[in-house]
Amino acid sequence: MTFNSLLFLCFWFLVWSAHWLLPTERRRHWLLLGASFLFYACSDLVADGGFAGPAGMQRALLHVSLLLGFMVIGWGCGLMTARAREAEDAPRAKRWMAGGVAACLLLLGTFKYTGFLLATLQALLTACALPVNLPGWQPELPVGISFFAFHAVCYIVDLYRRTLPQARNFRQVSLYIGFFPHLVAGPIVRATDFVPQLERPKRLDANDMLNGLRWVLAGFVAKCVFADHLAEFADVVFRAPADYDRLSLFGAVSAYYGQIYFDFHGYSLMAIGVAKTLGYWFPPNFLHPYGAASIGDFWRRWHVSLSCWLRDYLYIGLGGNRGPMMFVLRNLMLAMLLGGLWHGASWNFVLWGALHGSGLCVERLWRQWSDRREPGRQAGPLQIAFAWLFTQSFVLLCWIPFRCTSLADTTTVVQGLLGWGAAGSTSVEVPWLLILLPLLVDTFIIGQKAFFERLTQERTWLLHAVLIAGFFLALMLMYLGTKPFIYFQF
Amino acid sequence: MGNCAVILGVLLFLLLHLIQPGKPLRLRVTGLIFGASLLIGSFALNVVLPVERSWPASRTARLSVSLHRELKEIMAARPSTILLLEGGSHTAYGVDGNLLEAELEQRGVSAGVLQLSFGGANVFSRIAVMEAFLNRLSEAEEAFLNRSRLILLHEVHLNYDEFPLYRVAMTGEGNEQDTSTFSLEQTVRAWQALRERDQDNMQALIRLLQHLNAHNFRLGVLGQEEFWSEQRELAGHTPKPGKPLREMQADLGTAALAISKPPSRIDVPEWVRWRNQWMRHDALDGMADEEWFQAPPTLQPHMWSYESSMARQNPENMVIRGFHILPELLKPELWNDAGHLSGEGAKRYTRWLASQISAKLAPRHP
Repeated sequence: MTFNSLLFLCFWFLVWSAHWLLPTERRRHWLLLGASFLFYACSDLVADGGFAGPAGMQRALLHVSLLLGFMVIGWGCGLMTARAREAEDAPRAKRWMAGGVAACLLLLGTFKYTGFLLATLQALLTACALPVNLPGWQPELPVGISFFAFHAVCYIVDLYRRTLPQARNFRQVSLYIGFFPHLVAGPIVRATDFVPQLERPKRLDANDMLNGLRWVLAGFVAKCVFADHLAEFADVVFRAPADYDRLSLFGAVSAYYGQIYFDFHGYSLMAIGVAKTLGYWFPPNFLHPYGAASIGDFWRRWHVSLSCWLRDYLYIGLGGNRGPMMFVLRNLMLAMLLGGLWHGASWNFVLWGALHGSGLCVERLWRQWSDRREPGRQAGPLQIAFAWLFTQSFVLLCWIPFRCTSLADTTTVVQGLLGWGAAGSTSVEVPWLLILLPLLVDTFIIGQKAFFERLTQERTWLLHAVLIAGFFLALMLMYLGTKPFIYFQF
Repeated sequence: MGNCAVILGVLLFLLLHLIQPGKPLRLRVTGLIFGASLLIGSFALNVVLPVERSWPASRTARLSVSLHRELKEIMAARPSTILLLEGGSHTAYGVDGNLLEAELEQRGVSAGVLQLSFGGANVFSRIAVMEAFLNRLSEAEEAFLNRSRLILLHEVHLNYDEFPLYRVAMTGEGNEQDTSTFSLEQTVRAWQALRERDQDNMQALIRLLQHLNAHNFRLGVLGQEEFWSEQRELAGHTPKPGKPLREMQADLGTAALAISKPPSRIDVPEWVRWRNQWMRHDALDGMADEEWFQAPPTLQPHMWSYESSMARQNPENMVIRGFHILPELLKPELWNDAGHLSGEGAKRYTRWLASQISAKLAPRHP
């Protein structure tokens, strides 16, 4: 069930109505938990607008059990970690924490990376001329496993670090891990942000509703109007990149640069909006990343919930900024490589992570060198403009391996763009206005906080009018075909 | 997506970020405002926007525009016969309209060819193209077509003949044509056709409902003005996008073995007759003087059986069977996949098709 489907609209309305009709928070939690399981099962039960049949039922059962497994691990290991902490038994707490994290990662690895590891191993054995045939086993990837695995890890580690003061009951932990707005594609909400909200009594508030609807509609526009129309163009060129000329390839890469942002930003906005209408707050997941003038800045704005997670639970765990520069660079590189691999079991994602990791390392070395040379020097507007252009060109090029289905296709696109190989001759009309205008408005108008805050109007009646007219306008502008959310596959 | 639609979308996105709630209204008032507005809005939208505005997807509209350009060129050459090639991807990728004209010319036949076929088209979107084409005709163009000998050349294809909305009903892979291309009135006919074929298919029903929604609530009406479609590099011909499939080698082998075997019997569905009438009399307003059939070559033996059934059923022998040129086409470079010819394959088939058509037209063009 996707946020932009009629089915979800009905589901959301029913859950919302029932949620606010129930008198106690406890009952509301059980309702939300049941709704979250139903929401998750629907991704297997519904296929192409119809019932997926017994095979779908079987898949749904397996995947719901897996989700339940993560909830049990998160709750159980979290509870034991917290008890050991209370008893001031640090080694025991560490063992429970490590055990919980390992169990989560093991489950994630089994479902996500087994096939990839076996294929890689087989390729290595073949290259070494060893006559061993490994089985080509790859279980079907459950939707959203990367997200709920990270939520479970986050809960256990936060208890171990005592940033979350006490363990919660099974209902609360399960709702934290499986709350449907963030279940299948994030954002990765921190336990310290979400769990305390479960204890606060909530009341239905007209302004919260309006704000929630505002973000849902903004997300719908980003996804169904911008991203899906961009995908219509980009998908065709990326299907056979060798056939297209340089301008068409550049257009397709630029279209994907916009598509992936509006697709995921749109989903995040919708998740934030849906949660808001149910009385929950999620932190923003995108802070206008295409306005970033350095790779580090880009990662502080892009998929913020993931980059913060990687920073706090992986990078800092590896040693972070402590130690000599070589260690810092190693930590950066490892965090980005694993971040790339988190997106999918493919060498293309590893390459994408490696490129960003290298970019961050070079940037770190450059900063160190320039600080030594001219300490405290501020960059001028021209330098900032150049840095922005350089950063965004780098980010744009890095999306090529992310989008291509194989390393061979990646090479074809890069060669075609740089004019190294024989580019194809097919030329397509590039929708430059659709690629550029939404990005420019998002980055240079909405993204300029100080300027934009002066323009902001607090007018309830006007917001009503915009929401109502916007609802119809968005329906008229939407793309009619089916384009799944990109981050569902991760 | 048109520029106007992009600007409207960006403005809406901007406004949604710009305007925040101020003094809160009472919940009941908010609920009432929203409920009433949604009802009034859906009603108003149906009244304000004309049905035609949301009817064909732009691919259909654009195809009809390019058809009019081609028609103008044809009118300048003043041929006495016009061939209307209608069909899906097999004809679009397999027949080069311009080459067909030139080949007919070489054989002493003065004919203009209009390619109405396009990839991914189901029966209903094919009819939508015809209707769009007809609706845009000027008086002079209409008079010219009425004066000419107009031959409607249908594509013979088992899947599309056997199952209305084939892609939705059988493969579950709907495309934009399934949802948006065919006109509102055709929904009822699509439903009739599905029922006649005993397709108690949930997916197809959902697609039809989706289609009905798309039109009744004007979903995607502005977003349908797409910016991109399959570009015709050569007028009258669309090369199939993508690389040839590797499995084709196996298909070639199977076809070579099966070619000498007698065809099995596959009945031509009854609905095909009224579908053809519908195309000829309703969509083309009775303009077509004759109705022929051509079955583009494929490597799938069950398609050959169907072609043969079609040929048997047609008393005037107006079915041109691509099967007969198949032995000359059993080379991998001539195919994109088991059902679609490559550019070079299309040229060979087109030349052969020209010889068949000229033979049938010859009595009138001595």
